[in-house]
This record gives sequence, C-alpha cells and structure tokens, in this order.
Amino acid sequence: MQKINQFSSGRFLLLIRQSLIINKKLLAISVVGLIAILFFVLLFLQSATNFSGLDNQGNITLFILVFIFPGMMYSGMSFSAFRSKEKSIGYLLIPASISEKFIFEFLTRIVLFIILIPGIFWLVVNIEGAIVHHYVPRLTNYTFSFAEAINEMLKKEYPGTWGIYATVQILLFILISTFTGACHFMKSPLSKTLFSIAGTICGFVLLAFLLFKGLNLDEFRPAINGILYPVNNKEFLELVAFAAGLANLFLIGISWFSFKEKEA
Amino acid sequence: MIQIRDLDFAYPKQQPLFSGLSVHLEAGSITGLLGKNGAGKTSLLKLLTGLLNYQSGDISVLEHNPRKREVSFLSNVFLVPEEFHFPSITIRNYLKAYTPFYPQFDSQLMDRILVEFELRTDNNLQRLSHGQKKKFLIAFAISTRCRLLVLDEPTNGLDIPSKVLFRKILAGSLDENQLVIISTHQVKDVENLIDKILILDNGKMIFQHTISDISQKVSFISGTSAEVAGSIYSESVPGGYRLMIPNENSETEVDIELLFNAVIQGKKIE
Repeated sequence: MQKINQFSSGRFLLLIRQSLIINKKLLAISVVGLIAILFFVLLFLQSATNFSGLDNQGNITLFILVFIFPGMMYSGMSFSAFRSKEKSIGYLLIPASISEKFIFEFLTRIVLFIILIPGIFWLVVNIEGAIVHHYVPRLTNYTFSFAEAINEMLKKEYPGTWGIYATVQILLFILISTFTGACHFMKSPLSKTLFSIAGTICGFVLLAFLLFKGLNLDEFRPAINGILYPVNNKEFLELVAFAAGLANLFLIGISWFSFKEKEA
Repeated sequence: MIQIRDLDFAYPKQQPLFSGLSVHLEAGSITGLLGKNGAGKTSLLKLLTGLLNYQSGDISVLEHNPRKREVSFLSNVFLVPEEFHFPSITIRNYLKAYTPFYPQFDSQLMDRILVEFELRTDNNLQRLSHGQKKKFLIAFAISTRCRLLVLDEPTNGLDIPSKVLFRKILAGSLDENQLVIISTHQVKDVENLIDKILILDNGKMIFQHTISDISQKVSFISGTSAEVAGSIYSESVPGGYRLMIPNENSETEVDIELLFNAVIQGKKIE
C-alpha cells in the first residue's frame, strides 16, 4: 500500500493527459492571444519610434515586462479548481497523491512558463521584425538574441552578474508569490496576493524607517563587511538576490502546506 | 469499513457541529443518513471523504485516515455531492480523462447505465440539464466500483422515471464489498433501497438501526384515532392518523418519515 501512495510517474502523466483533454482549447487560445498581443505591442513601439527598432536592452526590458504581467496572470490562475467549492471537491478527490498534484501545478504554471516564454518572445520578436522589415526596409535593427543581450549586460559593471541574478530571483518571486496566493486564497487570489505583498513591504519599510530614525541606526557604521551591510550597489544586489531567493523557497513551502491542508 | 469514535468538529468561529459522535458501518449495505437542516449531514460526508479536518476524535474509513487523502483511499471512495461542476467537454472525453484514475472502473457497466439514463457519449456535459448531469455523475460513481460510495441528495433534480431507474441501477450494481451512504431528505425516493438508517441530531448519531431490526421492533399502521394502546408516536394525516406501535406479531413496511419524526422527538424503538 505504501508504494501506491508514493509519487507515480504514471499517475503524473495521467494528470497531464487530463489537463490537456480539458484545457487544450483554452491553452491554444491563450498562446495565440499572447503572440498576437506581443506582435502588436512590438509594432506599436516600432511605429512610435519611427521604425528605428529596439536595441538589445530595449528588448530585454520588454521581455521583463512580458514576463511579469502575463506571468503574474498565468501563475495567479494556478489551482484553478480552488476558485469554487464544487470544483475544489472534484479536484481534491481525484485519486492522485498530494505531491503529484502539487508538482503538476508547479511545473505547468511556473517551470513551463519560464521555459516557453523566452522561446515565444524570441520567435515573435524575430518574425515580427522580419515582416515589418519586408514592408519598411528602414527598420534594420529587427533581430534579437538573448545570448548577445546577456553578454552585453555582463560586460557592464551595472547590472553585471549579480544584477542579472537579482533580476531572475525577483522575477521568480513574482511568479511564486502569485502561485502561492492562488493556492491559499479561494476568491480573487491575484488581488489578495498583491495586496498582501504590498502590505508586507510597506510594513517592513515603515518598521525599518522607525528603527533607523528612532534608534539613529542610520548613524551606525559597522566595522564588518557582509551581505547584510551593503556598502555599494554590487553588495546591495547580492543582498536582494539572496533575500529574494530565500523568500522564494519560503513561499514554495507555504504553498505546499497550504495545498496539503486544503479543505472544501 | 467506517469507524468514527468520539468525533468533535466545528467550523471556524462557529458552534460545535459534532460532539462525541460515534458511528460504525460495515460493507454490504446501503445506509440512509437522515437529519434536520443544518444537522451536519453534508459535513459528516465531507469528513468521511477527507475534505474537512476535525478537531478531535478518530475517523477510520477503509482502514485509512481520510484526511491524509492517500491514493489507496481516494481510488476506493467516490462522492456525488449535491452541487458539482463539469468542464465543457463531451462525456466521451470526460471518461478518457478520469476513468484511468479508478483501476476498477467498469466501462461496460458505464455504457449500460448511460443507455438506461438516455445519455450519449457525444453530449457536452456543460450543455446538459442539472438532472442529466446528476444522472451522468451517478452513472460514473457506480461504474468506478469504489468500495465506498457517498451520495449527497442523489435524487434532487431527477425526474420520476429517473428516480425509479436510480433505485434499480443502484440496487442491481452493488456487491457485498461495497458500502453506500445516501444522505437525503427525500426519504420516499430511497425507502425501498436502504437497509440501515442513521439519524443525526444535535451533534450526535441518535439512531443507528437496520431496517429489519426496526421492523422487528415496531410496526407502522394507519388508524382513525391517535389514542391507540401502546402507541409510541402518532401523526395526523389526511383521513386519520399514522402510528408507530411496538411490533407484536406482524412486521410492516418501515415508514421512514414517521420513524424520523418520532426519533427526533425523542421516542425510542426499544
């Protein structure tokens, strides 16, 4: 009996199959919709700049925006069954283990998004650029390569390696926090998650401000140099990367326990 | 099969729903769970299927703690809730998506029941009426061959012919390893089906008897007067009275509604 209750790749594949049978139309419409929106946003940005095209930094900025906003919406729709009691009952009683269901949601809502979105972005940017260049030959800066863009950023002191790592951790934080919120909150999970995060950050900033001003901690200059006492931008980015990474692990733990204890 | 000992349960910030509740049920029966509105019938069914957590006590279903929601438990339990949701796919696709999770699923039984319920596999589940969806869910539940079937108000929304079919199909499809629990207010729909009655009131199971036990102890008769010697309980009905009296020699059919009202008012059948 112990073996049947362990993680089973066969049952995991059944969950994937079930999801595809139920959601294939919605998935296809979502991907096509995202491609169409990205295509027209690129077209708009190029026409607004008289078809001078976006450089690598511009494309990376656009990529980050595409990652954040559709990413928040997509991972915010994790555990879609929990939006209603009737769906929750059906989902919780499917004969699959807690780990299989949780890993399935995590892989499809976060890992798959992280893998597919750069590919979709790269494809759309290059195809859109080629199409527009065909009709507007003065658009010469129309190709994009992630490798080139990242190499350029690494050569610069800012943001540099730690800047990229901090950015990655913050982007993961955005996905994982909305994923956790979708698991925890039944109604309006995205807005409740954003409100909770905003409240937490504001509370922390207020506390830090009161401590610094109240106890004159801004006068405190420790002799030690460590991750908690950044003295320059690079160390600050290290702290951000470390804190965001820690927060991500903590949130994954919260989402796991929230899912395990879910009631309907 | 089901053992509940001293169960205490309350929803957050609400009065306790169950206090020291104890129940024992074995396989091979169709058990009716009755109770007034708000007595906790649906909550009890959810506790048995692992959808709710309890404060104290012990629940064992098929030798599992339902709250752990292990696969070996879930693949042997099926709940037909009062309200449910289906995705917008055909019956055929629903079966493709869900039947692999139930190792003992009987496809031939499913096909037979679908024909009797006049449902086709190319019907889109979202476009069916509530009654048709309920019929499909009942058909699916029976076809899973799960050892524990829990039905919450299964006849709500069914037309009269479908209620007759439901009784016939359920009675004819079960084996002695299965236990069916039916929670219902529509006792007339299940009175010829159930063989054990549980009555829930004030947080406790105040009545747990089999139909044969009840009919051996009490009889249900009609009369023109409520004052019959030894009458345990009586109710006024058009044309006279229905009475529950100690059984002396003849066994009668159990009038579940009368029995329920008598028990709720504190009458005993011993």
